[in-house]
Formats: sequence, C-alpha cells, structure tokens
Amino acid sequence: MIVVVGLSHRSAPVEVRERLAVAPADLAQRLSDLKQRTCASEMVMLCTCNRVEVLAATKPSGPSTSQLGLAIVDALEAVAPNVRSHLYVREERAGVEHLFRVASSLDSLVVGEPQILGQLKDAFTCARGVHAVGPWLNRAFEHAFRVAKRVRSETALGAGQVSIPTVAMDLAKEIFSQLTGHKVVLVGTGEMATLVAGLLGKAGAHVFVVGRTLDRAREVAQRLGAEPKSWEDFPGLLPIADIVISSTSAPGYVVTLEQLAQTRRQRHGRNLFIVDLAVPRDVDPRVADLDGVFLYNVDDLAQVADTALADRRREAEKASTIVGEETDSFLRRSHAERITPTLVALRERFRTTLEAELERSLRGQRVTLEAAQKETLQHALSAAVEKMLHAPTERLREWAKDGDFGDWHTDLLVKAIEELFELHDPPPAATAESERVKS
Amino acid sequence: MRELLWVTFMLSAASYLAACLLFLAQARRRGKAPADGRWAPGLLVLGAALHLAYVLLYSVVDRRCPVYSLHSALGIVSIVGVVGYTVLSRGRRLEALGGFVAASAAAFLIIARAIGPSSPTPNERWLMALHITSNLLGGGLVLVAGCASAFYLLNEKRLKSRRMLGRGAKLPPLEALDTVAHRLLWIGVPLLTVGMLTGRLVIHQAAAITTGERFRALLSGSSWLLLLAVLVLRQVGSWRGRRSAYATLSGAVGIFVVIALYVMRALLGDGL
Repeated sequence: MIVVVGLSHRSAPVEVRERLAVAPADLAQRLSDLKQRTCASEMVMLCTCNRVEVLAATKPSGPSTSQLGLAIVDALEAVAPNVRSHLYVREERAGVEHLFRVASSLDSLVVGEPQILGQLKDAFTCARGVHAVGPWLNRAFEHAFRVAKRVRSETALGAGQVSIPTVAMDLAKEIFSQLTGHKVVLVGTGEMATLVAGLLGKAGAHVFVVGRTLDRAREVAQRLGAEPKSWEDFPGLLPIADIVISSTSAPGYVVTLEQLAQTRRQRHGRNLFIVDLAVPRDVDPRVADLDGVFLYNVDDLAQVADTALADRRREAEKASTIVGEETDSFLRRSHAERITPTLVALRERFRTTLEAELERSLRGQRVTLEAAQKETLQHALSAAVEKMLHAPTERLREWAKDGDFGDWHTDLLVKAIEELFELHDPPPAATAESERVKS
Repeated sequence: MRELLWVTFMLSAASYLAACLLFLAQARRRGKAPADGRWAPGLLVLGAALHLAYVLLYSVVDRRCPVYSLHSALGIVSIVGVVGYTVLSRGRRLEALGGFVAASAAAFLIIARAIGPSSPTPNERWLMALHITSNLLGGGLVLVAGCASAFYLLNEKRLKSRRMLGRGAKLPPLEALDTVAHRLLWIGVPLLTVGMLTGRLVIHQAAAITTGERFRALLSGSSWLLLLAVLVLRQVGSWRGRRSAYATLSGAVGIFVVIALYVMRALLGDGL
C-alpha cells in the first residue's frame, strides 16, 4: 500500500524543482502538514537538489493508493502551483521498486553516486522524528537500505571516478598514497584546475597558487586556504612540488623539458604528478618520458572518466536485476504479512465459536466437568481447529505471496475472508450466550 | 607428534591461502564497497604463527636446531617476510603485495614439506648458526622488498602508459611501495652483511669447496653488493623510483636463485 509522488531531474527542470524544495529545517513541518492534509497513515518526504518526493502508505481500511496519490498531488499543487504536469505517481509495486532504485542510486543524475543513500536515511530519520513512519514504511525503508548495500557489494556501480577533478585526485592517490604534507602547485586559475587543487588541499596537501598577477593568485588562494605566489616564484617551486596542476591561457609551454631536467637533482628522485588541463597544453609532452614524472592532460583524464561511466552503465543493468528481485521478495513477504491478522482472527473465530457451543451443550445436559477434563477438551478443540484450518491457511498464504497478482489481490482475499466468516462482527455463539444471560 | 605436525602444516597452509585470496579480493574491489580489511592480515599472521609452531615441532621431531635444516630454514624466511610485511604495511594500501607475500609463504611451506632428510649438523656450530640465521632473516626481508619493487615497476608502467587507468585491480601506491622496499632493505642488507662476513669465514675454514658452492657464494655476494649499492645510492645519489626498484628486484632475484639452488640440491637428496 505504498505510493510515491514526486518530481526529479528526469521529469522537471531546476526552476520547477526549486519551487517544491524544502529547507532541511522546514522539512518536518512540511511533512506533518502534508500528512494531515492527505490522510496518509505514514509518510516520508525526500528533498535533494535533484528530486522532491513524497512516499506515503495507507492502511487496508483507509483510502486506496490511487486516492492517496491524487490527494498528495493536490496537496503539492497547492504548495507550488502548476507543478502537477511534472509530477509522477508510482503505486504499489512500481512505488516500492522506485524507492529501491533511488536508494541504490540507479535513479540519480550521476548513477552510482553515494550521497543519495545518506539523504534517504536523513529523510527517514526526520519522518520518524515526527512519528510519520508506521510499520509499512519502516519495513520498506529498512529493506531499501539493505538493497542499496547489496547493490554496492555485489556490483561495481559506484566504481571509478566519473569527473575530471576526482579522476585527478584518484591518480594522485595511486602515486602518493597519503597526500598529507605533499606540495601542490596550481598554475593559473582555471575553474577545473582550482577544483582539483581544492580537493587535494582538503586531503591535506599544501597548495601554492601561482597567477599571472599576484592579486588574482591571492583571491584564489584565499578561497582554497592556499599560499599565493607570483609568476616569478614558479621556477623556484618546481623542485619542491609533488603535484603540478596547470591551467593557463599561455600560448606556449609553461613547463618545459629543460626546466624539469634541470630540477631533477634538487628533487632527489621524488615522483612528480603533473595535470595539464590547459588547451593549448601548458606542459611539454616530452616530460612524460622523464623518470618519475607522470603527466596527464585533459583528454587522458576524460578518457578515464568515460571508462568509469561506461562501466557504471554496464553495472546498472546488474543492479536493476537485483532491485527487481528484491522488490518481488519484499512484496511477497509483505503480502503474506498483511494476510496474517485475518488468519489469526479466523482461527480465533473458529476456536471461540466451538468453545461457546461446547459450553452451551454441556450446560444444557447439566454436565459438570473437572478442570483437567475441561483442559483436555480445549486442547482437542484447538487441535481440531488447527487441522481444519491448516490447508486453507497455507493456500491463502501462497496466494498472497503470488507475485503475479497485485495488492488488490491480497485485499480481495482479506475482504472475502472477513465477509464470509463475519470477522468484523462478534461471534454468533457469544451473541446467543449474551442474549441468554440477559434474559 | 607426527599428526600434530601435519595439522599445523595444513592449518598454516590454509591460513596463508585464505589470506592470499582475501588480499587479492580486496585489491580487486576497486571502487566497490570496502571489504572488512582486518581478516586478510589477521589470517596472514595466523598462518605465520602456525608456521612457526610447525617449524619448532619439526625441529623437535628432527632433533636439531631449525637453522641447520633447509626444511625449517625456508619456514624462517617465510615467517620473517610475513612479519616484515605486516609491520611495514600498516596504514598503507598494499593488499596486492600482501596477496603475493601470502602466496609465497604458502609456496615455501609446501616446497619445504617436499624436501628430504636434512644434512648432518656442521662442526663449526656457532659460526654456521650465525651465518645461516642472518642470511635467513636478511633473505626473507629482501625477498619482500623485491616483491614490493616488482609491484612498483608494474604500477609505474601502468601509470605511465595511461592505457589501463581506471581498469583492473588496484595496485599499491608507488610511494608506499618505494618506502616499504627501502625500509626492508635497511633491515635486510645489514643482516645479509653479517651473513656474507660469516660466510667468508666458513669458506676459509672449509677443507674443500665445490663448484656449486663457489657459484652460490658468487651469486649471493654480487646480489648483496647490488643491494648495498642501492642503499648507498639512495642516500648519496637520490636514487629512488624506477632505478632503485630495478636494482632491488635484481638483488632479490639473486637471493631467490641462491635459495632455489639450495632447495634443488636438497630435493635431489644432497641436503643443506
């Protein structure tokens, strides 16, 4: 009985997404309002920069998932007019599968990115904080977290780096292991190069920023928490540098073969990792032939990122299969669980009816039984009920687990049993008994 | 006692092989969810502890000091290599090297099992004991340094060629491999120096030297000289990276060949 209503980067542009977006501080309040307005029994609201989604559940006795979905659409339309056409509604199996796909990062803008799972956990915690989560969503989310873990461990969906800055960072770690204390020289102030330097700085490296003008170098250095250096200082930095990131608009080479060959003795054989992100290139490609120099240009890094993206696309197919399997397993289990209260009530009805009939019969014949005899008879009645209902119970459980049918199938079964055996009414024998007592 | 010996041998081999598989699985998990990294080193240490127990039990059964038996000597080389790796790999991503060390230790354990009865205990016991012990300890460490250098050259080639970037198993970082190899040489080469000096004395006292012994002495001497040169050149000539790795690997291969020759001779029934 789950329904997902929302919009994402696939269905709505950022101008629409931002109208529905909620600040983390206001999320609990918005969730409580929506839950109250839509009469959902359970609700979780997920709000990230790429999606705003409401996941809701309703009781079997409450409104249908279609009705609940429409109510949520209306409520969201009231919050942000004209979003209706961008909203998608996924009910029952599609809703569960969507939740599992989101948790596994299959529906993310960058497939395999790990942040979505944390965001989903935060949304779940927030909903629990305002008591908006009941048994159904609790089970669904716990299962979704397990599915995400399974996808991570059984596929390489999150493998490799898919952006140029992270590829550069990964390569730096393949050369230097720990970046703490290593010296990075950022030559030029291009956006991509600044991002790479920022990542290396965060990993503990000491960053120098070299600009054509010291003012520009200072500005970037301040942003990165780095040390600004003038253009004239650059040759002096080469012997101490471990990583050089270059992104200038200079027409010729900024780092030449002769320059690096001269610094070899001063470098004491240390490795040098050079990232040339400039077009035209800043670093003489012949330096790659020097011992201990690892040179990568923007095409090399893009190639690694493309390879990782292609790998992820391949792994996404495997992950989708896992999500499909897990959705079926979850639905089978939850259908079987949904029929359990009805089966318990059915057994209870049989037992109480038989006991009442026995009691009436004994009383009519003025027979008084010893406590031990009574107990034996009750045991016999219970065993008879178990035997009578064993086959129907098993059959009903199997039908409920049958994945070919939907939620409606389980609901139909539950309703049919309740109607046939009048499970909502008090037991007939008990009614007769109470009437007799009254008279 | 024989049964106990067999059990420790089997358990040690199983631990080494399990550690090897886990290390390789970890190295292959490029980008996947990180596996629990404690099991592989734990199993490697367990394997080494069982191996030590096996060597000691074997000495009791064989009624001789472990250093005089090639069977036990191979065990000591493996254990020293494992200990050297375990101590120096802490905090470094050296899973692939760990897999190689575990596989080598298992191979040494199994090969030692195939070696026949030991040769008689030599007359100059203390000198021989010092000679063999220092060579075994130094040799074990130098072999691991050689493995680290081989991995260095492999990963360096991969990073330089740029063709296999982002693919295949994650090899250990270059800097970590270089540091580990250097530190192992710092401990291993002085031990080998003691082995070389005592070996010289042993040769002087020997009545006759065979051609095979002369060849082994020459090979181990040149390997030791090469490794010593690496240490010196690293200090005075800033030798690091590829050149240092090539020289270390060559020295380690020399030491390995010497050990292999001993093993071959023992397998042919001649003993240590």
